[in-house]
Amino acid sequence: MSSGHLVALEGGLDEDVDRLRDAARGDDASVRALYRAHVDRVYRCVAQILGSQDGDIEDVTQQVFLAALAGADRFDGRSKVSTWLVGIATRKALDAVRARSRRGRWSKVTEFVGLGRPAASPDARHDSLSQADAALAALTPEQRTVFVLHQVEGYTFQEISDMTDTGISTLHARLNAARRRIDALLDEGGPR
Amino acid sequence: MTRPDNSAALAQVLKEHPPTPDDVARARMEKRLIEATLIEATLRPSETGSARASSGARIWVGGGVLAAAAAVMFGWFALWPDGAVPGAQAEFQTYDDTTRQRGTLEVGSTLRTDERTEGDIRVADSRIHIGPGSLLYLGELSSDRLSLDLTRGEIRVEFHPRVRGRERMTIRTPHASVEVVGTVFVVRASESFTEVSVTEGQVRVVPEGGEARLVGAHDAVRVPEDRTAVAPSTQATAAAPADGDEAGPLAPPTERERNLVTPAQRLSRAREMVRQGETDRAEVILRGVTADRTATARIRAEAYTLLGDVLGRERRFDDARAAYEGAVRQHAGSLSQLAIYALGRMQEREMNEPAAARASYRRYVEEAPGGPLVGQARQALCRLGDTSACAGSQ
Repeated sequence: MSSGHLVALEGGLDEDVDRLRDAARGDDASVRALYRAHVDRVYRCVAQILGSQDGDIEDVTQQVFLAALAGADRFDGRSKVSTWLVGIATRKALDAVRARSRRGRWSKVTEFVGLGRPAASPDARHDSLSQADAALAALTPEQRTVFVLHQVEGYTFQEISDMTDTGISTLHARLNAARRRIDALLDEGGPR
Repeated sequence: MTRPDNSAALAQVLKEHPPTPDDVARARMEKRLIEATLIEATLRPSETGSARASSGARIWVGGGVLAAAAAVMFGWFALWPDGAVPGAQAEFQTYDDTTRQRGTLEVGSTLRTDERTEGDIRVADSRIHIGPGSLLYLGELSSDRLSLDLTRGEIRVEFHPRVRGRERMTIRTPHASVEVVGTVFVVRASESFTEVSVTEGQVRVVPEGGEARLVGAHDAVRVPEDRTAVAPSTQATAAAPADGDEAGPLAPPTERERNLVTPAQRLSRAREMVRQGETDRAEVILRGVTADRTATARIRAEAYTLLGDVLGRERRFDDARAAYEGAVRQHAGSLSQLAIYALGRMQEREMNEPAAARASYRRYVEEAPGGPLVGQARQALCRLGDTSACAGSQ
């Protein structure tokens, strides 16, 4: 997206910003409105980084909104509220992944995602999703993040850089590595 | 060229099938968010990384469910002298080395302090000091009765009723009730015992399964985990401070005591087991929580609902229905209402019982007109042939 496009969008974001500020002040209706407006996006981001079957998605999703409300005074309006929330979601999900890997739970998540384990009611859709999940799981958390945010969600590298405090050249390198890994996996017939 | 196509194909699959929460999960997260978003005094490390920085010191104020921070309603309040007032509140403040937070609590609120934080609650002329690592639930608040549940930690109570003999305070712990009429005392609750020491006045300690005992000034008693006896505390002497203002130290919990869990902790563990697919073990724990008399209605309702979900996935529909109905019987507000919706969904999607499903959804709409799933319930009713719901569905 060009900066001009962003400027045009920001003109229509006052309601979202107002909602964020009201929610941060403790207005329940605003909290609900903010949540309902963005929960699917936040949940999606968290799930794509953690893995769609991960048991911590809900907790991390909640942490994202709590962090947003706690840090609402630091929202400077340079991005959309939704983009800002995705940035928080990205950081929270990565934190959860890193904490889990330190605890040695990652292998369990990888198993659950679908490597060699059929679904309860397998169908073509589920097979392709399982493969997709498994391919994502084979990436490092950082590669997965930039792949999902750029390739799936459509964020620019500048936006991803702002979200993750990572340099754009580093993001490019991670995305290229992610693509190579995915291509190699899928060329081999799937992750092992 | 296949390489770019693989990544693009993967991205396309993910775009076409984004992970989304189901209705119940969405409502559940919303409820917990509302309950949790009220006060958060989070200390952040200073820019210079000061050693005083106590990041992670949090003060959650909530009500009900112990597995997640619960609800707190803001507003200033003075204890009315003329009977129970709906929405009655108590003033509170919590603080640590660098932060002080104030607010109010309503009936149903929970106050939790971490290891670095203390708090004070003020109700009329009475004060309750809350020590670090405590979890306290405000069960009842009216002009003549104050009731608190202390799940763990330590509180020091100064109860000064305006009309002695008329106003009463009760502190409930997992093991006993402490009934107070005008005194200063300390109640300490661990996972396996409750200890009460009195500085001034007199309290009556009633074990869950034993006879009551009066505890006077400079005396202390301990109720062990079997909740049957009120034994003199070995800390009785230490609990009688020279200046009358501070209680002495109590015995630290043993390793075994630290390993015992509360109903809320068991519920949390069961939830984790369900996530990890260990449904058999989760079912055992959940059944235990639902039968636990020390669990609050909200905990039991949530345990019943989760049990219903587990049983439903295993296609044990009759048992699942019984579990959901168990949640409803707890009369735990929104938690019980969610069970009604979940029952309706199971009846519609899994059991192929449209009439029963309509009845459940209709009940949900009636009992929770402002609930987070009202739109979905109306859509379901419309889908099931209740045309009167079609106009109002989202």
